Amino acid sequence: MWAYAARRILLMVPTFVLITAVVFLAVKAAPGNPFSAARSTGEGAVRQMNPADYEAMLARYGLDRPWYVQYGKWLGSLLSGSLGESFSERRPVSQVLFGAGPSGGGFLGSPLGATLCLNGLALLLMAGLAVPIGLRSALRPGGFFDRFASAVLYVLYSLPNFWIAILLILLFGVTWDLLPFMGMRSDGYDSLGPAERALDLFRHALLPAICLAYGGLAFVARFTRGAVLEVLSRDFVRVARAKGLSVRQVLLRHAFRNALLPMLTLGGLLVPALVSGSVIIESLFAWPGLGQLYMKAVFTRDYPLILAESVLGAAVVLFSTLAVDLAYSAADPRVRQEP
Amino acid sequence: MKPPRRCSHAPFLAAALLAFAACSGGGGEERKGVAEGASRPAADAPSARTVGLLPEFEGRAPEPGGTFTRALPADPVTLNPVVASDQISFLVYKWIFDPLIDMNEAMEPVGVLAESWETTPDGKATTFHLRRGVLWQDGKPFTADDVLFTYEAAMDPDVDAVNKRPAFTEVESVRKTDDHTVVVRWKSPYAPGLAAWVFYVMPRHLCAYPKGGGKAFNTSPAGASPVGTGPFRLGEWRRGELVVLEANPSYFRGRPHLDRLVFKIVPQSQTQFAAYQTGQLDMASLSAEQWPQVRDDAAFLRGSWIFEYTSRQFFYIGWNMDGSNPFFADARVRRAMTFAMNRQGVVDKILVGHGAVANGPFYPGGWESNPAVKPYPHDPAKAMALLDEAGWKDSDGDGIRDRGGVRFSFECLVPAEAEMFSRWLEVFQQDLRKVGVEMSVRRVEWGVFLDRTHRHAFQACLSGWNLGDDPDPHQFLHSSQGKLLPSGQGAGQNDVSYSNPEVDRLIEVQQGTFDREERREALWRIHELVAQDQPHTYLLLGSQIVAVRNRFQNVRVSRAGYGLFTWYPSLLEWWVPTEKRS
Repeated sequence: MWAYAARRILLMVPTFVLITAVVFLAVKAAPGNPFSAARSTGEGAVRQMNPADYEAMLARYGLDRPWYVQYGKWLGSLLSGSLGESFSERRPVSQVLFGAGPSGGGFLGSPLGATLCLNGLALLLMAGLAVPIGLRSALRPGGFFDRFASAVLYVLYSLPNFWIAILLILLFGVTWDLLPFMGMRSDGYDSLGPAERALDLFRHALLPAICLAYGGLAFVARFTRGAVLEVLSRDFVRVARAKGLSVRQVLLRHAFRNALLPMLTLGGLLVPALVSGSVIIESLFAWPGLGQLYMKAVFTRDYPLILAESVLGAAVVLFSTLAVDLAYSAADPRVRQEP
Repeated sequence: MKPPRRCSHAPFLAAALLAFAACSGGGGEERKGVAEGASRPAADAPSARTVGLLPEFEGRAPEPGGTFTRALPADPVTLNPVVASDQISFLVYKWIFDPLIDMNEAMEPVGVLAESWETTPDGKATTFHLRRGVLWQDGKPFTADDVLFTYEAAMDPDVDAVNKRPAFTEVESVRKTDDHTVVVRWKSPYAPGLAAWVFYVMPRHLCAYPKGGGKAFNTSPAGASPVGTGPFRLGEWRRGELVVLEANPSYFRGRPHLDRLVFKIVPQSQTQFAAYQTGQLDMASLSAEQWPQVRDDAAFLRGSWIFEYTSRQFFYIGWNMDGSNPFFADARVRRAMTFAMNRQGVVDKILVGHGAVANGPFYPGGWESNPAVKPYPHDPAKAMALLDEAGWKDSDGDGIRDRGGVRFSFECLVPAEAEMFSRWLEVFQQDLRKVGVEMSVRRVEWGVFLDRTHRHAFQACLSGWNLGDDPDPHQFLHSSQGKLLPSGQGAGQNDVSYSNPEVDRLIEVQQGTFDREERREALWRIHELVAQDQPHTYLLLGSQIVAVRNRFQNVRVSRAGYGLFTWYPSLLEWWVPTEKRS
């Protein structure tokens, strides 16, 4: 077991280096650099730069070196525990990602906190709806509910979420004026009590969370249905049925529990989604999370920030797959064997 | 690596792209009822409204109070005005800090921290008399030392102020003669130099750093917790969410009427527009799709001021006349191009009337723009006559003119990111075809576009430009700016290698002329000569439509293209009547 874990962790190192190197090369291949990217968005005079002066500035930030030197330096500082300094914000990347603004705002005020909050709600919505739908579908595969639910979920799956987002903003935000659609907190948030704050956050997160959740319903529901159906075909289920238990009892007491094992995989796939901010949804709903930050980082060619977000994403994916695999191997010794 | 020198070029395009996201909408509210999409005369395209003031509040003294909430597409980068180089940071820090001078709504310099200034008759020195009794927001007095400190910080090679320093290249020295007098000496008499002093001053007592500490200044806390002399001070800044500024009660001009400015970070224009409709924002830029949605909405119009103004940026096609192609060295050919292209048609059909045909590099109606220079009319017959005269005739009957065996077929380079440009070029392609000229369009990525234009490796190119706060056209039209350096890069922005000795002379004359009337004469003459020479075909200027909630009174838009905020005092004169406050 421990040898297996150690081997897996060692394997992660080259994977990780490869991922970051590819991201680094990709951002470097895009024309421009942190100081040339167009950051102006309005009228007003911008003056010419002096070539020598400009070169000196690039040198000051090491941007005149070949890409592998820059990458090496970045990797080196990562090993010493630093994500580097953001070019566009001129402060440490860790502070940009995990720290709040100059006026505070707590962990929630940080891009990571904001994204966790939004995606957490989205995952809850997704799992809360899709798992029961999957179970109900497995009860009578091919029955009316199964076919109806899968048709509806596939329609949802195929609707582009920016389009749904605009529709929800116009209906719930503008026409009916039921829910907020801009930002994550109301103006008087700081003067609210804890329960009211939670409600305020929830109301702000609801529309974007729906947009993030509905597309995944089909996947999760079908996955649940498949996992349960497989278990239902096993002998012990037949035994349970033979004992005289109802289908419902068999499903909930026996089949679903056993189906949880393949669903570990699903968990492994969904957990990384918690920290991957959606660029489109976060910017449409002005949600101050990692997705919006990523968009800004790309536009301003803020290499350290782009890399840090990629590292964060890669690390969560690698560790959650590792966790799933370890959980599997704990539950099922066959997995541990060499292929 | 693309040539660094002209990275300042990039923001112009960014501005252009954004401007054009918002410029093909409808007209001002005055023209309500005109059929949607119908083409209208563009000469009067910008709506007539310049001031928003409800009749019942005319003559009433402004009352203190009220909050103005607007959107920003992204967080400010830093609120350190020396280090900041982006427009979004500027929109916020300009209320916290004050410049020495600023431009008013007519693009005339007015004193802010400088009460007055004068230039010696030989033009070699300008003396700024600083306002007395101005306080920093921490209560310390503002003095000449602050001006010197900020200037020295901006000129420190370790400080990331590369986009500020070029404005001071003609400055020989900056000294103080006493605590309230600063003397700037110029290397040579240089009239455009005054505009460089739209320069935001930082407090020496809080920001001074030891020699060699410029790097630390770039990341100093001043960027996150600024202290200025300006009309508002920083109240709250939640990164990615909002910035709140609060009125500074000890502002030298008196406390601004509004209590609070709130900048919410809202990246998408659809969201901004929806938030304006629900009252969460007090201002929205209206785009092509948005304006027709509300132009007949009585409730929307009743609660809003609608302004439309022509942006300062002009768009042009540059004709490379360095001799690398057989077409454009001849002024008759360039004039023919301008006559052949239906620019008014593009303004009417593609911009739906929201723009104006350009007639040169100067802002129409500005003091530097010669009213006698009119845009070339669309006149294909004249274009054909000029091309005949220049020897371009269709000798083989294939519909395309030729001369000495060379077909008149050229390539126009255009940045692929600006989709609007390609739509214009489709129209011009057909126009040129009608006079027997073949234009192919080469769409390239922005970095490639810059690289090729800087190396003068193109036949024609479509781009945008803005001369800035001072109309000096030196880097755009002077022949010295069209030379190639040993590195293969152009020396300036004269990518088309335009060279007219008389224009060169007049550009030098106006640089050394401080009297605006005299300077205007030279600029007007330049305008005439450029109109004759057509080194570029000046295409058009786009316009912006902005809605502001009409509980705000005394809202003014600059007729010099500065819009609602980028002039002085603009927002400082806004106020909200007590009964309009909710």
